[in-house]
Amino acid sequence: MKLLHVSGSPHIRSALSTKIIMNSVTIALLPLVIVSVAVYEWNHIIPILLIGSFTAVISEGIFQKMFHLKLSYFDGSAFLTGLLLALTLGPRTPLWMPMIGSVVAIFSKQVFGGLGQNPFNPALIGRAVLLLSWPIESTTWIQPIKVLTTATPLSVYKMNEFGTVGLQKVFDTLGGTPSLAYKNLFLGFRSGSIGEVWIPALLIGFIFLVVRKIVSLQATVSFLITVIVLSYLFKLDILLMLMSGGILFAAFFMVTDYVTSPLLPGSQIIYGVGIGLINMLIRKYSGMPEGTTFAILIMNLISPLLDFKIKNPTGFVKEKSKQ
Amino acid sequence: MNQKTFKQGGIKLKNSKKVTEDLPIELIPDPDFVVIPLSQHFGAPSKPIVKKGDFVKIGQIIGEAIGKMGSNVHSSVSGEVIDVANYPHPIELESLAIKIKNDQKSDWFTGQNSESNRLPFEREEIIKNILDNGIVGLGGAGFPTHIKLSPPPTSFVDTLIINGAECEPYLTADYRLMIENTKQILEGIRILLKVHPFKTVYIGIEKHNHKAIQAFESALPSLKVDVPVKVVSLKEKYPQGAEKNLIYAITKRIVPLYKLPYDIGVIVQNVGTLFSVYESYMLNKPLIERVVTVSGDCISTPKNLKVKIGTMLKDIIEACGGLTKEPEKIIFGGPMMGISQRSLEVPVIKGTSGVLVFEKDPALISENCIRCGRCIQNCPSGLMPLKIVEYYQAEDFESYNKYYPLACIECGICAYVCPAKINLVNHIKLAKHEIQKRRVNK
Repeated sequence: MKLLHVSGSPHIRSALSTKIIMNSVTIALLPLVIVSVAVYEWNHIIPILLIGSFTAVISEGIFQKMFHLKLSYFDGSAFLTGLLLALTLGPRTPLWMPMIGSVVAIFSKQVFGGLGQNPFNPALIGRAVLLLSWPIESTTWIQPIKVLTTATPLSVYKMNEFGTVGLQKVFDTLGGTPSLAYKNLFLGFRSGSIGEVWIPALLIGFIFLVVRKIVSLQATVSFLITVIVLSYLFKLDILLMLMSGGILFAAFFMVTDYVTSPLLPGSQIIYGVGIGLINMLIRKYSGMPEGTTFAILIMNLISPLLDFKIKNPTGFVKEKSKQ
Repeated sequence: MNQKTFKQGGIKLKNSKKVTEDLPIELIPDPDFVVIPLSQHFGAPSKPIVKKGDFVKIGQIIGEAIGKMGSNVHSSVSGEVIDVANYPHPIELESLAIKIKNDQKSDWFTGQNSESNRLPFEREEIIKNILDNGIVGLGGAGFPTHIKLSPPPTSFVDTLIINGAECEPYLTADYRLMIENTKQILEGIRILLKVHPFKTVYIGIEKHNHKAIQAFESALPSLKVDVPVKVVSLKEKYPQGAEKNLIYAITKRIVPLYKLPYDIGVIVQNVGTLFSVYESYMLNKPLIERVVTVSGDCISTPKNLKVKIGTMLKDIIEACGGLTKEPEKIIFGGPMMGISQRSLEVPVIKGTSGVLVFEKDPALISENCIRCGRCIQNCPSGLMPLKIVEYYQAEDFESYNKYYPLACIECGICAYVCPAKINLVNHIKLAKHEIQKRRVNK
């Protein structure tokens, strides 16, 4: 007889694994990928996405080999990082950009000890580096289908000091009437990053993740509510604020990242509110039209502190102060 | 929704009980040898009172209780004591045990296993009988029953809960007992009511075991007692049978942290224990056998067996038609909390509820924690397992001690749900051990 295995209980485990979780998120991004390939120039989009994701996988492999770490570049997490990064880029981004971005992203994860140890969302670190190093290339946008180079609705709105004139200009470029403009915003007939294009695809992906219980809602919902409330307080157009720029993409796929967000539901709500607040302050007061990337990175930094609370176990009784 | 359940956390497991749930309890042929460990309960190991060469009868006391938490140990066969030495033990690596060669005469010790003059229900008499006959909790921990039935006089115990939840997958021993010995279990309640004036008695059973619920409901009218006895249908959820969870599900009372059920007026007894109490008092029969579910994909014919304490694992497997495949893992108990065995040379003890033989062991390699928080969401004790483990691995005693590791009931859910396949509960057990060690050394 073979030697029997001896180990601590439990002796059965659920089928869920890190790989399944990572691949589920990748699957959730598929509708988005398909739509973006369909509405933009496919000969640009496909290389951007492929180079982004595979550079990430390869650089993770090289890094792990170089430092004699356990090889895990095939677990789907590096691929996902690369894909997420590529989706935050513009549709005409030169191909060396997703490549550099992915290398930076993986580096930012591996220097802290690899998967699960990184304080910052790797894809957003990659994007932040690209945005700051090559601002022109990072902010060249085109409209889908028509393939016209235009500014994003958000920067049009901002350049006109968020006034009614600016809003009218946005409506003009998006079809004329407000209702048509909102419809075009929702259905992606406006310029922006690859991953922002078709909001229904974003929603499908997110609902898939929620239904499969891969992600929880707290941070996403509190982030979006904060954006809505602050848009109202700042007297900005709420729907335009929500549907333009990277807010929805970030709310569904970046804010929900396990590693860089807090553990407890209460802390996740604070985390979402923080991102919303910083995001809106950047949009309203900074020189940049969009600030989702930096809002999330700043909150990533605070996230471990938000878990300061030690959860009370069942049956916990508050100790009466000794008199 | 009238199904009751516990407060937080918990998971639904594939229960895998179909294989054995309709198989009546069978008697196993008497083994040629038994090895009866002297450590089968919560307290200190019993003191051997027989020596090599002695002849013993069934039910004869061979190990005497030591200390407050001790319990007596009895011979489960008649025959010659051929060794008193250290033998492999299913939980401890080794323990002092008594090996007896069965003479197959099945001679009972005088005055035992007979239905004679057993009626003056006096409290002291019952407690002494339970102690004498070595009755301990059959749920697994082996807590001496006479201690559990003697709460401090200052407590206000008013509720008795009979635990028939059996929430571990594969196990059907309690379920079969509830169906086949419904009357005896109810008589056990009558006996316990003489020990303590409980005001209410509940029998908690998971909903999918509706046959057991029906059995109790139809037998209840014939049990004429003064207090209400209620059968409670519980949601099928693991760990429903954990003492504190069961108490909350049925009474909505919460056992305060680090306190015991009697502090909130409840005593919980497993159905198997109750059956043993019945046999002990009505027949003066010591705890020398128990029902064990034998299942798993390597067992040729899975069964529910009534097994003599001290029967070797290999004899049990033989009684079930042997193995169909070479096993990689053998577990005593359920798959969530059971203990894996090193060889077939281990005896069944009082706390062994199941024998599971599997061809494959998951044998998983753990990856980095991705901080998904599933261990926190599903913990029935409301703990943060990942934090305890993180600090335990960093050997930061002060920090992990703050996260209440001692409140862990070791149900194994954190390790079960972990996508990175980290065995969190194992680390928490080690953390608990470290805390207890430091307390003792203080």
